[in-house]
Amino acid sequence: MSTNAKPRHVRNTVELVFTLYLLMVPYWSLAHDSPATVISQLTATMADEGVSAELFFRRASEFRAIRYYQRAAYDLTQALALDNTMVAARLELARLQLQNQGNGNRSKSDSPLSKDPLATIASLTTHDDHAIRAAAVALRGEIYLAKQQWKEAAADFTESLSVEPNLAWFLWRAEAHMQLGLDDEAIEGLKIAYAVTQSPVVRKTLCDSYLAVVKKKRSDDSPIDSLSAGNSYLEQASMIIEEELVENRLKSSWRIRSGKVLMLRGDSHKAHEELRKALEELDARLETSHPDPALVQDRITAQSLLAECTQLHQ
Amino acid sequence: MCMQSKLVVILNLVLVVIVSASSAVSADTVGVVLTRGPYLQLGSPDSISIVWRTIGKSQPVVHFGSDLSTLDRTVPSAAIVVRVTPENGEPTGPLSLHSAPEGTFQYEATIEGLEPDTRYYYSISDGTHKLAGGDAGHYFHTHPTPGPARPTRIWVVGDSGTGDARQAAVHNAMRDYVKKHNQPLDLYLHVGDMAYSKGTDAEFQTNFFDVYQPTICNTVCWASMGNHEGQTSKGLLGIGPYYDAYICPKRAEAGGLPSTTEAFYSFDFANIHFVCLDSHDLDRKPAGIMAQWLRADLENANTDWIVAYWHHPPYTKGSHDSDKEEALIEMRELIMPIIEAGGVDLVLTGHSHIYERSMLIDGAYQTPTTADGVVLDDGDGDPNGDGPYRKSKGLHAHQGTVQVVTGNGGAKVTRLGTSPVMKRVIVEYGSVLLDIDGDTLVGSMVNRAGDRSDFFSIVKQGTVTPKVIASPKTLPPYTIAANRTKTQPSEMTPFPKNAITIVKPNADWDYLTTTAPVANWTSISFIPDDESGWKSGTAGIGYGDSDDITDLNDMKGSYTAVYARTDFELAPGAKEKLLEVGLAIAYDDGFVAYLNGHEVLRVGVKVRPGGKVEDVKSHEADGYEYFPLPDAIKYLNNDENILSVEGHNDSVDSSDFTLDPYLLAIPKE
Repeated sequence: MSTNAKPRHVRNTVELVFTLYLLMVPYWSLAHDSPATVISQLTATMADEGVSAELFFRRASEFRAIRYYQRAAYDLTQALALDNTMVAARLELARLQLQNQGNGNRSKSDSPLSKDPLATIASLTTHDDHAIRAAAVALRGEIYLAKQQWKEAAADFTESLSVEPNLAWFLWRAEAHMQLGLDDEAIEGLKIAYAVTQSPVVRKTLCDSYLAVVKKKRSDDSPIDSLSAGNSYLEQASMIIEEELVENRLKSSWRIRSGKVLMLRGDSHKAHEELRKALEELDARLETSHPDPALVQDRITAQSLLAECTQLHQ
Repeated sequence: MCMQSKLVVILNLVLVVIVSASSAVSADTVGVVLTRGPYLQLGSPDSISIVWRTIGKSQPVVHFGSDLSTLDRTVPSAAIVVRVTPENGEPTGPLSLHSAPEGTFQYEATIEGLEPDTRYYYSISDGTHKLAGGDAGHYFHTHPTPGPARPTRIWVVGDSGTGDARQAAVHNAMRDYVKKHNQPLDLYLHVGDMAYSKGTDAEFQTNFFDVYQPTICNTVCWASMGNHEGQTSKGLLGIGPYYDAYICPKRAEAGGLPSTTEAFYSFDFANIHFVCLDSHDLDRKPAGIMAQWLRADLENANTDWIVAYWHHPPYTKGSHDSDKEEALIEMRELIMPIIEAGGVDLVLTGHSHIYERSMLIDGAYQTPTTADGVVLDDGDGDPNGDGPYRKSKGLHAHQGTVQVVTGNGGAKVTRLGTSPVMKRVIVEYGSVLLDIDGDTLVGSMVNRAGDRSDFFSIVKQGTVTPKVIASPKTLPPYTIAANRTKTQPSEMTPFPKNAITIVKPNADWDYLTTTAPVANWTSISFIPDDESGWKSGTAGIGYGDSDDITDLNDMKGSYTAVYARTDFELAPGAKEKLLEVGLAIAYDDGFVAYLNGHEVLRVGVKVRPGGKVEDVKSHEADGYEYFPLPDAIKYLNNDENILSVEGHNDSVDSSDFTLDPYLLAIPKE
């Protein structure tokens, strides 16, 4: 038996991508014992044997596991103070800072958590190692996305996607493109992503993007050829929705999309019917004091569209 | 199967042909040694994968047939994917094994066009010689057509990957139980941590494949990744020894929706939909890809039952605390709302080294977990007790979920407390068997002695209107005698300053009272079981003086001896790094200590052990005393070990008794 030798560039790419993913994912607690126990053990080791960047990094991971983000950030800063080249610590610190910004930056101004994650990873985005650079650029894209700097975010995800066709990066880039008004680029990117992955998440996002673009084109003072493209998008969205309505047991989210299509086609009567059915199903699923927040949001959307339909009727 | 899935299957077939063509098989078999398998993966109603490894090149051949005496069908060589360990300097690629030993060839034979719900026998060969199979133990049974019900038996185990006697005992107990009840396994779910401590290729071999080979050669193991495998395998990319070992659906090959990754996936079996999530290293947020896929998959599922499984438990107070650890909190706060809105009936997890099983609950997402407003049935779910949990026929949102934490498959079991939603908390080694037949699901925790320690059932019939129990009957809080006097080191015997703890103070011990144990009770091979009177408790064990955690309130006036044993692990090479081992113990009145069946210390007790001891000398427990064990290192294993101590009271009417040991070691450096 022979397994054909792969070209050198294949090995390089695989190794690059593996390194990239090692760097991309947060370093989670890995111990047998509870994080509190491991923190005690590591603290004792530091007292007995002295501190090291590795020990600070490991303890930071355990602090993160129990949501002591301030302590985790402090330990990561200590690790970097001892070893400024520790890439994993730098990326991890930037992730914590990004998460802290997403939570409204509630930490004290002198806390390492409150620092700008862009500054933390700046040195890595020009790193000599291709994998480290790619991981840092992807994280920078996330940071730009959070800062609503869409152009910079889209550019970073495009660069990252040239290394690895990651689903999240496809979706985030599409979001950035939509925000920039680059609707066709967003949709083309999602179509490629769906062809590569067959992911139902991409399919749903693609359908939503079709509908968002059509709605925008209808509301704009768009030229005729643009409206024609919009009709094509509407047809493609409609095809997806029809298939999903047949396939799915729970249909409310697709009925809402169906209602949107019908409204865009001016058939508010049928749209009303679809939205009413969606609400019926949602009401049954929301009969609990602990609902899924996404379903609550769906219900708000359905009710709002229903009100719009009723207005159109009148 | 939906249209997109069919398209994907076609694309996959094309891919397999291309891949196989590029891995052209030659007949120059040289010195082939079977090193792994054969084992089954990725079953469906019309297909199955058979995987095995050899050291050295071979011509992979699979024969199969529905009659054991006539294995008259052969898997086309084009349907056998070959993956190899790259030699030094050789390029790697998508068909490379991540870290297998040099010269390893892994064969993944996919058989298609099979009849549903049908048993086939198989054998594998190197083209000339049979390597394995062709006997009654090597078979596969294709999935039934999705939808119609048929009795289904599922084995669930977690945190098993120690490779030691405890893991083997749990596995053997399950096999004996299945044989005794004459219903074979249909599926095997592993909820993670199957290869301690880092999930390396070698650890997978010794701690998973070598142990479970009799089961996995005829039952597909559907795996979820634990944090220990996460040290060497990464969910985002699907690379590492974990992903080398398993073939999981990415493109809805066995039902469900395409996940595009082996890290999380779904599949169907008869009237059951199974969902596996990666709780370890993927984004758990509602807007994350896994959560979005989960929502879509559950909305698509249309079976009678949905069973979900992953590693980190939303509710536990075993060796981990679900109110304090991020992964566990997020699985509860962010993922459980989707699970329960999607109509899931049962959630299976591990990570926490214990068995815990909940009441019928819904909406328990808050932190810390409380039983208020979330319990729909506070009974024990036992058909012979309070009766089964009841739900409406079919799939419905928020009709209640039962949570099972089964992290007791081999790693040392521990308890921190009691989660308020749990109905059963059992600190013993074991695994879970699920039997689903039509509208009834039955769960049994089978301990390592082969006994059923827990039994619960869910019945889905008619229409049931769920009602929240105002004041549910919850388990009492778990206490370890918080008001006891804390034992301190005694000043009488100096403790070595640089000692490390091997068995912690106040560890959990198995102990026996009132009767004498069997002769080999101190050996590794002995398994303490409930039927023989063995119990579990936290040291110190005793009564009087308020210095004990496990209170023996029946000892005074009744018996004078207590036999206790606990297990501990040493890492490879650890024994060689030790200079001395020593026992720290608070005791009243005398004791005999054993390491792996060898007596290593006798204090206050004259000749003979157990019930035949003579002349027990009175001694008051006044803190931990240290006793070096000069010759004990030679008895240690770089693996599982057993420390046993028998404690003796000097009189049956004594006012107190204490047995509170732990183990120390002094490193050479």
